[in-house]
Parts: sequence; structure tokens; C-alpha cells
Amino acid sequence: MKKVIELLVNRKTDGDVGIEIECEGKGMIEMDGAVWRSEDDGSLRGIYPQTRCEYILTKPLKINAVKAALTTLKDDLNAEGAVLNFSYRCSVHVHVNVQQMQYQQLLAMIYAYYLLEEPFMTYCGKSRKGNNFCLRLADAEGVLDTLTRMFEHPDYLHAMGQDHNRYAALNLEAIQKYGSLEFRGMEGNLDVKRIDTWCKALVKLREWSVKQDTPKAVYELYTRLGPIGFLEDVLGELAGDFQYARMIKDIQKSFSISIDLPFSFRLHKDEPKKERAVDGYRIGDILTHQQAVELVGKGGEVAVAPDAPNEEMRFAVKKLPRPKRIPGFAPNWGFQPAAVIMDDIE
Amino acid sequence: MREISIEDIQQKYEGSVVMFERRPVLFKKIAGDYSCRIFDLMAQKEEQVPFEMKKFLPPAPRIGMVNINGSVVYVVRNAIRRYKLGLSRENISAQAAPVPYPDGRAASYIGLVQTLERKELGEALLNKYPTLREAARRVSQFEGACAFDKQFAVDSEGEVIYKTKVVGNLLNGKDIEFIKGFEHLAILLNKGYEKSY
Repeated sequence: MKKVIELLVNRKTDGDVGIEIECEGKGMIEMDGAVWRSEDDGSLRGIYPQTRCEYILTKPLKINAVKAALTTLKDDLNAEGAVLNFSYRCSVHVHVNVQQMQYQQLLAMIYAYYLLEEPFMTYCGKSRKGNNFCLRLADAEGVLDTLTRMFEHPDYLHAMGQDHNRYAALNLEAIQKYGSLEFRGMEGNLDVKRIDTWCKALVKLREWSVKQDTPKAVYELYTRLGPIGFLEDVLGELAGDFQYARMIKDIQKSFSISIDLPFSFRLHKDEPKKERAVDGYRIGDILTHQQAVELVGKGGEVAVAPDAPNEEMRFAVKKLPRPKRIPGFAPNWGFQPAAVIMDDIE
Repeated sequence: MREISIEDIQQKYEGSVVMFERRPVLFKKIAGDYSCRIFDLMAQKEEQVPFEMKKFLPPAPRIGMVNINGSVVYVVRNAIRRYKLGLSRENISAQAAPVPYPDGRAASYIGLVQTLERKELGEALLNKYPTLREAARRVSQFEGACAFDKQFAVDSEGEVIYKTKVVGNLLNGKDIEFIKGFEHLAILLNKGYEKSY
């Protein structure tokens, strides 16, 4: 099975996580450093950068470097006398790199996330439940349409439209854009430990999913372990940070709402490359003498077929002629179309 | 200074179904003095109340099956880019259950749900459904369907519907036999996962 990066041809990224922290407040500063940079964000209130600003990791980091990076950002803002005031408009988005996951492992991760979405969102902040900018599967069940198609066939990754699911707590459109899953659930804050734990939990979810291999395996494990056992299996020593009183009932509802996913999954073996045909000829085709003469005339090559069916059909195509180019068909763009997509990703 | 401007309230709340004092209401209009006109879905009456942001909450998660005029419509919310706190015509989609009604009947029921004023929508949001036994009794008296859970309904032919698919048959008015390939859904009913919203 192909990896996500092979399916989508994303620009290769090495880090585990990318982080975006949306802030409102006062005294904030522009940044353009090796670790953090700043950007304006029109969904926030105020004037950039003093009273509204989004801080973004310049490049994705390994998970063990996240804590230090967050501490640096906090210290830099404190040193400038910035006062942060996180409103309901602010959030922390975490991108988890999934480029090296095989497709069915990615689906296992998505399904496991949905099973645990309630404890995850509870950890992210009470105000985030039902929030317009990070709707849970229970809030926006329509996301299941996209998910079901994704689980049925990997080709659907290419057809995923913009803005249909972008405001879901798990933004699937980031897969196509960056080769990441974007988790939009965390409320605005700059609590180093809280964000670091959140990132660690998401990376643990990814590592765990690689071991499970398919969504059906995740389903079977859940039905065997039950809600608490499943949470502990996925998050290990971090599980305690995500538990709360109503958690069992909430996970059971998530199980109910997402049950179609593992049963929609079909394992698609990599399809063999289709043989190229030129002028209707393919390598190995058996030809008559006259057809062989025509093919050679076009620049192809033939050989005597060792297992010729009869005297008439005794030549086999060895090399195809070069396809004819239609003058003016390939315009000189001066750039490769794929390069445009890469620039967008930058 | 107010926590939120009139313009923001218009954008975020007007024309959407939200929860107010644990009741599903259609937020109709905000006035310049921060009083607002709401329509209570369960009581089917309009009220004028002062706007307080903390009192207007997103509706309970998941809409699911809506029982309406002896029919069933499955309604979901989509995660689209519309700044509405609650359910609006733009962010929900509805599909009729696969029940062979006379022409046009199913479409008109979808239209009724989309008015966002029906009591039946409020009942779905409050997770009020009859039991399977009661649903089976009702559909024995007319041609149509009746939901007994957020995801399951039964029709007059004794077919069991999950979301928008027929997945099984009702035997002797109380037991369900799932069609091959849908047996895994039994766990959802046995455990009653959708009963506690």
C-alpha cells in the first residue's frame, strides 16, 4: 500500500508537528525567526501585530523539541511586555505529519481519533465543544460523507474539495495540502505544558495507528478493550490527562456515530501499472508480417515470437514507436505545473 | 462595552436553531437594544428576551432522525464556512428514509424540517424518540415510518432503516434481524449508545 506522500506528491517534511497559535491582546510583536514567524489572521479582532497576531512554527519540529519552542515564544512575548487575551475566536492548531504513513494506517489514525474525539476535545477546552471553528463529528455529522468516500478508496484524497470540512475539529483537507492532519480543537492559550501534552498525545496516536494497520483492526481492538482500555492503549502514560467523569458514555456515542467507517474500508492493493499502448500496439502483441512491417516503419521493433500461434502470426512487438507529437499541443509555459502547487504549499 | 456587537450577533445567531435555557429555539432577530426575538420549537411560540451570550448555546450534538408526519427524515449538520452558532438552512442537509411514499411526500417533509420551526426537529434535538415497540405499533396504523433512535427507524413493511439504508427486518414487533453485512449495527441498539444525549 502506498504512503500518503506517494499518493499526493506533497513536499517532503521531516518534523512531527507544526503549530499555529492565534492570539488577541496587546503589545504583541512581529516575528520572523528560525523557530517562529508571525502572520496576520483576519478572523481575529484588533490590529496586526500589536493586538491580533498568529504565531506559526517556521518549520515542523520533532516532538521532543516542541516544549523548548513554546517556552521560547512565551519568553519572547513576555520580554516585550505583551499581554495575551485569548477570546473564543482564538485557537491553537496542530498539524501532525502523516506523509510517511501508509494509506490504511492514516485511516486507522483518523478512525481512532474519532473514537477518542470527546476526551480530546474535553482536554482542548469546554468552550471548544460545538465551536463553529472546530466542529466535532457529533456537531457536524456531514463530515462522514467525505470520510466514507476516503475509507472506500484512496483516490478520493485528490477530489476533496476546499472548505467543506475545513471547520471540523479534524481538518482532513490539510492532508492534500501539506500531508498533515490538522487538529483545530485546542482553545487559544500559551500554556507550555498543556500544548506540549496535546502534541505528544497526537503523535502517540499516529505511532499507535501505524502498529494497528487498518481501521478494522482498530474497531476490533476497541470492541475488545472498551472505552477506558482503548484510551489507555492509545495514549499510554498520557491517558490520565484525558479522562473525565462522563468519558465512557461520550466515547460510546463516538463509537456509535463513526461505526460506518471501519466497515467502509476496502483494502486496495497497489494496482499494477497499465501497459502503455502506442497506435494500438503494446509490448508483446503478436503481429502478422504486414503489421510488423508497418510497426517497424513507424520506428518500432519486432522479434520472432517464440510461441507464435501460427505461421501467419509470428512476430511480437519488442519496442514501441515513439508517440507522435502534435505541433502546438504542448505550450511552452516556462515552468512545470507541479511547481505551482509546490509554491502554494510554501 | 458589550461582549459582542449587534452585527456579530446577526451573523452568528440570526436564522439558526440554538439552545436557550435548555430549550431548542430559532433565533429570529436581534434589536438595537439587545433584545431578541426567539421561537420556541417545543412550545411553538415566539418570545422576546434580552440577549446574553452565555444563555445561547450550540444545540445538542447530532440531529439524526426526525419523525415528521408519519415519515422519517435523516438530518446532519455540515462543517461549512458559515458563522452560525446553531443549525441553519445553509449548514444542514436532510435526506428522506427509503420508504415508498406517494410522489412528492418525502420532499415536502424535508422542506418542513428546513423551516427550522417544527416541533419534531426540537424533539430530535432533545433525543425524544418512542421505543421500538411503540414505533412498531404506530407504523402498523398507517403507511410510513417512525424513528425509535437517532439512527434507526422502522416502516410499515417491517423494514428497519439505519440512517438512509434498509438494514434489516422487524420480527414479531420487537426483534430485529439484520441483513448480511449490517450485523455489526446490532451493538448500537443493544447498548443503547444514543439514549443519553
